[in-house]
Amino acid sequence: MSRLADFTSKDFIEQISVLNAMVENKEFDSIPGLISLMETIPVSDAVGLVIRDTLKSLLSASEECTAGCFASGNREVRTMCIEVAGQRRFASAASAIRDMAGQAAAENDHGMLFIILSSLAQLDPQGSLDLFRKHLGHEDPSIASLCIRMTGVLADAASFDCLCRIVVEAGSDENYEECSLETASAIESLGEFKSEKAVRFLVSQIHHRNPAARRLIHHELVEIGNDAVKPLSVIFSEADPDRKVLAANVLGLIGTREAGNVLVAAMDKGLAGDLNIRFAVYDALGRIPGMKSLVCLTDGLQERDEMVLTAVVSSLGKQYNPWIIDRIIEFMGKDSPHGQALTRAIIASRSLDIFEALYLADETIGSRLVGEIVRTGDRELADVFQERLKKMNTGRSQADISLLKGVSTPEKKIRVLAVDDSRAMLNFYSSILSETGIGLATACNGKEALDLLLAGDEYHLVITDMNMPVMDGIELTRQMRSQPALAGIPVVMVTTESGHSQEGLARKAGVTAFLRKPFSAEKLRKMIETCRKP
Amino acid sequence: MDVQLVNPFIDATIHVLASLAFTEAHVGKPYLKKDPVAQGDVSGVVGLSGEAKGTISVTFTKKCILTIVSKMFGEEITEINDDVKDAVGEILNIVSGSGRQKLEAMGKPMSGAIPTVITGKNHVISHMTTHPVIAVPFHTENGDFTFEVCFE
Repeated sequence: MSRLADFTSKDFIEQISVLNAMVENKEFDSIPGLISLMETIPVSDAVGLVIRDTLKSLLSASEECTAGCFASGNREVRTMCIEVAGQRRFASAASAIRDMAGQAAAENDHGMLFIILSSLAQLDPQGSLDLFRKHLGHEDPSIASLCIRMTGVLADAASFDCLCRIVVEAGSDENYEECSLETASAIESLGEFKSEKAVRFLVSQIHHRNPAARRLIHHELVEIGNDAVKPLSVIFSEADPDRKVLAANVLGLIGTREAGNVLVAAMDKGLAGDLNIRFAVYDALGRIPGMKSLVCLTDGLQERDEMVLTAVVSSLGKQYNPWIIDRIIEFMGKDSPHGQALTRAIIASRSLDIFEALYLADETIGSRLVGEIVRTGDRELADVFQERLKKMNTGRSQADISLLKGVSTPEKKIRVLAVDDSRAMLNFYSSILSETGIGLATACNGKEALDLLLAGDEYHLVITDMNMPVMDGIELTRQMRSQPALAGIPVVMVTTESGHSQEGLARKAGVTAFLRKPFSAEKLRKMIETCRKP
Repeated sequence: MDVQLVNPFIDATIHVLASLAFTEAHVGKPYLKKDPVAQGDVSGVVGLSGEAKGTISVTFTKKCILTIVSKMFGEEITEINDDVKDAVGEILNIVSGSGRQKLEAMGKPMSGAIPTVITGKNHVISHMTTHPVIAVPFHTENGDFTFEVCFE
């Protein structure tokens, strides 16, 4: 205490020297004096800050002194002690801190309760489980989220039903438009459980009504990986096509051989009859290399729907294997509408390895492919294939390079931005719109699209998918409507969703029109013509 | 998404504004952002790496930041100029440093990058990570601002 005599009459440098010496010499008996000074010198004063740092350093060095200050009448000191005890893992303090939780809760002191629970989360999580359980439904989102997360970290079976209830209630008519912090924490915590029951629950919520919650559930299932494959496989024996599409997307992102087997089995057993499901399965198989995927995709070359065929070719292009070439030649040999659709799909998906193999194997098919590139009138596309022809370095390829050099992109008066996380879908847009007077730009998610829109280029229409990672189509629309420069651009939402609630949300966000998958080239062109900005 | 990572930055923000700009900031209810973008008139964003990787940002309305900076400089500032931008960067720098100090004490050491400041009516900034963003609204007597945290 003697060091602190006349403290306030000393100059700043002397004051700092005194405080430093206290920490250096571990002068714990100075603690009461420092507390008195704290009461008179505010934190906004430079020396006030150092006084607090000094007290904190001394408390951090003594479990006994920290415990002794819990009863301090000064709230700032009590808060400091609770934080220090948590940070320094002062085990003997856990019980006293737990006792303080009751008082903070009774006084509705949310700030203090959060600090207490935070400290206990570091100090003695297992011993404080009852407290975390007790405050799972707390009205303060930070407190509730902290408790929800801790029950997840501790995989507390007794809290399981409560966490599930939070997620289910977030999908009710009253709540589904917003995803609360508690819902996000509950989803994350259920992901931490990793039990079969928890995974089954998350799978049951794969089509959650709230887009943000849905995105988080998909993320957790992908993180869980192989353990989620079996519960996801059950979805293919159900009737709901939307759930099947989402299951295929998640399995593709899990990307393991087991996930691939489920997708292939769904095709083999005829459980993917709907065109949208077939599209999603082929698209997902493109992410899962393996013989089974390759065989399934090669069988997919028989698909007649152009959108589905684009998914097949895009995926085959990602896992090129020389033996698929004979099969492709078989289909492309005749100049049938199917052969033409395959030609368009190969060029639109920029499957360069397939292109090269076909070009070298069959002169007629090679010419047809080059003819398709010329027909698109897309300079950028021509550049990509020109580069590959240059590498081939044959007499024929040199002649075709000259042909491609003549490709020039005509001025496009209408510009459309297509947004989809499926590369196959973006390729499909490209194949449909290449021959029209419509210029196309693409983005993989809402955020990428928003960046493009804000970069200043003029677009007459945005076509967007609904479910995408990072930022979904509904949120993209909301963002556009809140930006004066973008508010007038019409938005067409492409969806497989059959639930009206999602359409309602999208309409509220400002979506202009809906286009249901699968759709034909003609339907898309008509939709663009009807909805685009003049 | 750990709410414990957010609190040190909230404390630091309140403290910095109180000590540097004599501004009392009241914390609102934190919420989950639907998207990784923030809208406002002036924003500062800084990347963090270490125990957790992410970004923190603070986005002010024009009225709010002009009042804060006027109080910091002791003179009335009426336009968002370079001094205002520097001040936002400095505020975020202190918040980042002070918040990280607390996180280090919690056993989560992190290092911070240099803040980037963006201005413009209704500008949009993006968080580096694709994980959920927690937004914390603050209210001052001269307007509102939002603090956002996004950790992987």
